[in-house]
Amino acid sequence: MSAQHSKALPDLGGVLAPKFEAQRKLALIVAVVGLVGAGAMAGITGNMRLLQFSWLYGCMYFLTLGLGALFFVQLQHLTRAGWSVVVRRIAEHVASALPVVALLLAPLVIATLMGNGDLFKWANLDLIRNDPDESISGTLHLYEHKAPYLNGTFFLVRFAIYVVVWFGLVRFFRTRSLQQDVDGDPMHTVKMVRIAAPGMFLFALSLTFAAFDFMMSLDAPWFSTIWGVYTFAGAFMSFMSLLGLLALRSESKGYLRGLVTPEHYHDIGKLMFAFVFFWSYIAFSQFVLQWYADIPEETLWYKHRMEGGWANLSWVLLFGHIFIPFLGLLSRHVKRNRAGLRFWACWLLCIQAVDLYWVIMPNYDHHMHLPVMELFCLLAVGGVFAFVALGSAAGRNLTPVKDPRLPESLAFTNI
Amino acid sequence: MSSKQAAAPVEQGPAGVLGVFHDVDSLLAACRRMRDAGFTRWEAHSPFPVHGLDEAAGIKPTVLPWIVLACGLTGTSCAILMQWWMNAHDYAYIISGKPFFSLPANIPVAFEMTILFSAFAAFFGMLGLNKFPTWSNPLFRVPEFERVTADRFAIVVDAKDPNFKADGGFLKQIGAKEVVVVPADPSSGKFPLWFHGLGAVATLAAMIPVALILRARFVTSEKPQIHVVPDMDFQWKNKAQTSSSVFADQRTMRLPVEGTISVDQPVDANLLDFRNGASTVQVEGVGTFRNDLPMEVTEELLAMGEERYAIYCAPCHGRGGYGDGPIHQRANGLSKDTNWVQPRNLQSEVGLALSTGQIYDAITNGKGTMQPYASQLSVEERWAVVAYIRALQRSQNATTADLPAGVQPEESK
Repeated sequence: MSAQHSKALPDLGGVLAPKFEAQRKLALIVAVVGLVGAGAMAGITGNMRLLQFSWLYGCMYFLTLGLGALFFVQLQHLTRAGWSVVVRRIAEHVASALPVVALLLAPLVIATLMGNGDLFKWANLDLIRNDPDESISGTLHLYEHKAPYLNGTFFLVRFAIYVVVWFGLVRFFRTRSLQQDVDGDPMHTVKMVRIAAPGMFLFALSLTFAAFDFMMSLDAPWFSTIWGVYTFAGAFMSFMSLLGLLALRSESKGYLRGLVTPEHYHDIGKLMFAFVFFWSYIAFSQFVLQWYADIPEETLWYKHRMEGGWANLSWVLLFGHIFIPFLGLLSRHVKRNRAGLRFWACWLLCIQAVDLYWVIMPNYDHHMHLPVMELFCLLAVGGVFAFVALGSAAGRNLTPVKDPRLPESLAFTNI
Repeated sequence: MSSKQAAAPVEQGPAGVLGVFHDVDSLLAACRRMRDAGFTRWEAHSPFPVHGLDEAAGIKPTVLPWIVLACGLTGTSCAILMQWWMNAHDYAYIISGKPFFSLPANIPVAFEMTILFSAFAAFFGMLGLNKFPTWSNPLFRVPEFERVTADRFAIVVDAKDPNFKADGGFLKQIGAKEVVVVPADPSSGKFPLWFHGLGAVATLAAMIPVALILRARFVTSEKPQIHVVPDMDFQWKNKAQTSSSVFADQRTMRLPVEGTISVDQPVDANLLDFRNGASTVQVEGVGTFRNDLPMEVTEELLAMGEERYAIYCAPCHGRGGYGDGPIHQRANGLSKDTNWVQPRNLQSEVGLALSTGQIYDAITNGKGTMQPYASQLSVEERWAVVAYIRALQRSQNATTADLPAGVQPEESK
């Protein structure tokens, strides 16, 4: 309605972010504490295998958050969305940490390239061949069959492609958007819409294959063609939760006041709810197809997660990732309520950590242990992630102030 | 209808009063003042959805989500109950070795029925809460109201509102450009007879498929089956156990080429021999059979035998081996005068007297109407089933003497 569009923009004083000096220092301290803790533990116990798994776990958690942010930014341009403009800049800042987290995976890639089979058994087929357990050595032909794809060199090539694609996309959308803050040229928006379409293809392919490479190939004989979608569902759900939390945090600190309204929280909540259910749908589809077909090389993956303590975590996922948040986020009033949204956003960020832990760690050991090393690695990568994202936001606008759709976003209401 | 209108000339007070507005902002402002003045029975009309109108008019959140939630949960429960009834109770049948009642298999149906019930609840609940179908509305007789579908906005105060005044003075105060009294609806508001007739006919028509299904359940027919997809029912191919004009010997099923060797692992000759063993029995007219087990009886072997028995044998012979499996029960239930022969009761005198070699022979080569199971069960699995049948027979015919020494009751000592 033209009447609403012609309203003058509210005072945009609260959109310029501070320098975040104290926060960035804190993030660095957290990263160092995590690194030192994990390093000390590895040094004392000599367990480099656990260190590699924990580092992968920490990286995957923040990588999925960054991928969710990149998807969100591209999706808004691709659909020319109006409602989300006011929170899109937050996603751009979060996404800027994505290539850095991806680079943190480099040590693991190099170790794999050098034939270290601690993490990815396919990196060293002698480990399979000489395994005394016949259920492992008997799968050698499956490893050999997949060797043209799962080998160190090609793995490195793919890893380099992911980093380049993610860096390119994140940089393009962030610099264009920031440039628009200065010159107000609506052509930036047009160009971003144009790039978002092919960018989405690149994103989908890179996320799918990265999910195959870094998580599915941990148990190389196992496969699930829906694996990329499963990873994507968790990634977007956790990022929407982070977006909700960051918007709430900005507001409580006096930024974006009067710009972000319950209408925006409502939409963020809707996407969180939708992706809680989308994850459930995908996770259950994957489970039920393999459960029903009952083929050993497929069901083994689930068998490891139904025994030796992992069964408890499977139950936690069933209730904590499906039933409880589904009922909790079902109501419109919860999504529009700041405290309600904050609670469920925290819940979903925790459950994403549980989900990835459940995906990655049973490959380390079929029995559960206390996740101390894993938490140190989570802190280390999280510190770096926060440091980069805060650095991207420092001293810049928290909302794209000259985006041609900003008035539409500010006037947005749900029916 | 016009004749009915004329037949109801009873004098009534006005139905309400209509205030016309020319733009959205004045409508919203007027709505806020209506809400604050404490009007309860009134309605705002607009040619398009107006953001914020709900809040301005003080409309309370609808109860519809609760109706949808309740119906959705009903759908989930119905689906689970239906599948439990069908799969685990009324016609218990093992499929792919899964339990009779297994939740993962039930989830897709439960999911669909939850959505179906929720969608119906949302659609019909919305119609019901909006008081549809309403046959007549007095507003449609006011010419000024027509433009509300094009370029005008309106607030209508119902005559039943406690603050109602027929002159509409308050509407003028809050900015209405025109105020019109809505006359009472002269029509009776009842549904005409043809509408009821149509409903009755539709209801009856909806009963036809139900009646046909019920009839088919209780009536037998001499007519041949209807073939909906004939080219799938009658395919251009030769099926097993039929004759063929292609080959000189007219056999559709071809023998393996001379000298063919099985790709399976070579099997111990002792396992294949069901006639000679450590102990044998002579069966009159059939020959000698072994009556021992060529494999070591372990817990794993019996567990495998139990599982395979449940999948392949229990449908006919029953879980307990009494020859009373679901197929037998269904065949008996269909008609009493078929040629159906009860599957062998393995717990009867004849069943208990069978040697292990005879049971193995029946599994491998079939017996009477029982088809061979050699292609479904490997040699080891067949012996596992034989071992399990022996255990089953023992479990059903145990005496106190079978109990271990320490736990026998006093009198049997």
